[in-house]
Amino acid sequence: MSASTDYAIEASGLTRRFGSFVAVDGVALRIPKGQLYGFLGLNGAGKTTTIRMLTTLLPPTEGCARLWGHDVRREPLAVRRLVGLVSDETSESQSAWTAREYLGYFARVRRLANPEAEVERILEAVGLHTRFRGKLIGSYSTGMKRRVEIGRALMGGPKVLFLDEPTRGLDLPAKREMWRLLQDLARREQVTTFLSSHDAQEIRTLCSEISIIAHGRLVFSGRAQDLGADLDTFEEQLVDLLLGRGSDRVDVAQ
Amino acid sequence: MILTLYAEELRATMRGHFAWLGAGVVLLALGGVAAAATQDTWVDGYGIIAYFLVPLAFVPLAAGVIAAPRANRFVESLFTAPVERRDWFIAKMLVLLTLGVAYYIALLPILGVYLAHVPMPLLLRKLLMWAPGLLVASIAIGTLIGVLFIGRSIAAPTATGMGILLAYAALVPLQELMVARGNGATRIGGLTLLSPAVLLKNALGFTLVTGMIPATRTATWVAVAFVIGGALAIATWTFLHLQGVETWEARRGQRWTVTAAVAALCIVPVGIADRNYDVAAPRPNTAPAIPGLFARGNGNFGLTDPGGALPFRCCGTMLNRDAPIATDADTKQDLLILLPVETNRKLTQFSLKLDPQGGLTATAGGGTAMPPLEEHTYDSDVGPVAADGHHVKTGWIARVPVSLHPTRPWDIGGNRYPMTIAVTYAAEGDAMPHMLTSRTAVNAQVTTGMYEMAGAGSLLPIWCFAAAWRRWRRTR
Repeated sequence: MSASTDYAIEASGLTRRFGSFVAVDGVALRIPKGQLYGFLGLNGAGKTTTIRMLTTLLPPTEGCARLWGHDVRREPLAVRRLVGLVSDETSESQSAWTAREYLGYFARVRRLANPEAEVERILEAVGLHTRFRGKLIGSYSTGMKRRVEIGRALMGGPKVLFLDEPTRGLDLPAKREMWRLLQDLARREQVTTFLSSHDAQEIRTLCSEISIIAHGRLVFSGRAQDLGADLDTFEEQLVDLLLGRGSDRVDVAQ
Repeated sequence: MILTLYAEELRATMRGHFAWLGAGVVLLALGGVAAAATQDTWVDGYGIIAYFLVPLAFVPLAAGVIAAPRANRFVESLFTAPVERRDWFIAKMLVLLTLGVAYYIALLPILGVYLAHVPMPLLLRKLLMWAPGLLVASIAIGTLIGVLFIGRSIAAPTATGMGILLAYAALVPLQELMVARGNGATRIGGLTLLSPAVLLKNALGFTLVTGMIPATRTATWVAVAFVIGGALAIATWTFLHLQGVETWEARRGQRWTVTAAVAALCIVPVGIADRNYDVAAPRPNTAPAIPGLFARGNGNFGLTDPGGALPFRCCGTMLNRDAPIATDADTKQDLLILLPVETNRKLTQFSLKLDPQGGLTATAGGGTAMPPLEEHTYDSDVGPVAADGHHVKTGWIARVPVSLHPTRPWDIGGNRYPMTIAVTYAAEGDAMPHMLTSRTAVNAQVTTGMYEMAGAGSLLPIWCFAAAWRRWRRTR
């Protein structure tokens, strides 16, 4: 597979076992470049494990996955040059760093030409006010921490941005602000965004194409609208899928 | 990439909430110990803490440094950037080694003060070689512990590191005790070779207290290399080939191999290291031997300032236990001689001979004339023993002005110069004069040592506290 593929993410038979427990079972994905793609599932369904395999953090037990044509197992460095990951907790870990220090670390590790300027540009892009940039991340609100994480993930201009529960723990106004930011970034930064969430409203608001995962298996892949024109219908269909009651009514990507 | 990661990780190390503060506190404590230890045997006090105990603390430190990025999920951010795990691991090891070197260098001002006054004693020379070995061994073993524990908390690896530290430290005095009692080569004596500190001590050929070292050292050096190289090899192999970013990916056989390799790290040194404790250990310094140095009571001599009273704790082998005199200077003192003669008898003859040794010069004033005599009433049964065997109740004390000049100190404090004192005296009714002879010790120290040591020991802590303050001001 060459890097000139039309798909940002391709996966087939992607499986991960932990001992006898199958966390992800034969997941197949094909996500075109430039899309804001939704990945929906309950807690423990296998969303994070899938993302960790796609971002080289976890080796798949079986199957294969490619990002922009690069195999996650054979070409991990090439894949890492293309991806940015925002997981739900990481910025908490660097609470003793300032946002500038945190992003500066990754700017220099990624060997960007002008790290300081790039840090300021990214922090501007994610909307972190200048007066907070030199303060410790531990003193930030949850929303500000997420902005820093998104900024870190955007460092180096990734082609694919993985967002794992990016609005977890945010109140409604902060969540809506984050949605606006994600839509804006997807448009401005021209990245393919893989948004994982258990929040149906979030996925439906932001993504036109989605996959739904339950108990490690994909139970739906297709247009969000196919599950219902309004949120109520969408959620009813979704519950049926997640509880295994409606798999005959939807398409599952192969 | 390794250099970039190394520089970034080194910067990151000092961004911790209490990094600068912690470094300052540790160095301040060491400076305090160094200053206080000028009042006694400095190498035995400060030296063992700074060059033995603190380097062992790199076991939990290394374990925490390696485990923390996985515990706090920093690796998720790091390894979704184009970073090779091998490069990061090497960078982390280099950071730990840099911290070890920084610690060693941080002690140099204190060491400099000591060496400005005292020639390097053998024990200090050995400690200066022991410490880097301990630092490298501690970093290797701590890294292995940090690699083996994957979890969301650093409590388990650091607690394990602390346990290992305590075990390694405790095995040193146990080994010294077993060797002193002739049990160094027994099974239990051999178990003390589990500790790299014991192995390195034997390999370098010195002891802290006991008098014997192994006659051969080659196998001990092999054991040291096995422990350090083995720990690093297991850690590297495990990290790079048996683990993912945050998960164990080892097959059952590989897990057993790791277990067996860790067990070998414990068993092989015990099995192969030399334990033929048949050679006398070299003397730790050039201090002269003084029998009964710390004996108290039953002495007849004491030193006091000119015109001063009898010292509170008087009298033992050491003439001036609580008031050491200055080295490389003339000090006028009164030598008080507690004569075993009741005051109801008149003293008819008195002569004094001083024989100072070990670099001490001493001259007694007054020539052959009878010195000033003072009456002194003793508590029951603590007075000097008279010729007929009874304890003097109210006796004569002769006060002789002496000039003392200790030279060539072998330690910054706690220099005990031997001096043999011989007094010939006679009282009314004595047919023949009596002799009072004793090998005593004069306690001396470098008087400015404490202040110089305190100054040298506070330079870096102040710098660390200033850095902590600057960072707090800048980021709050």
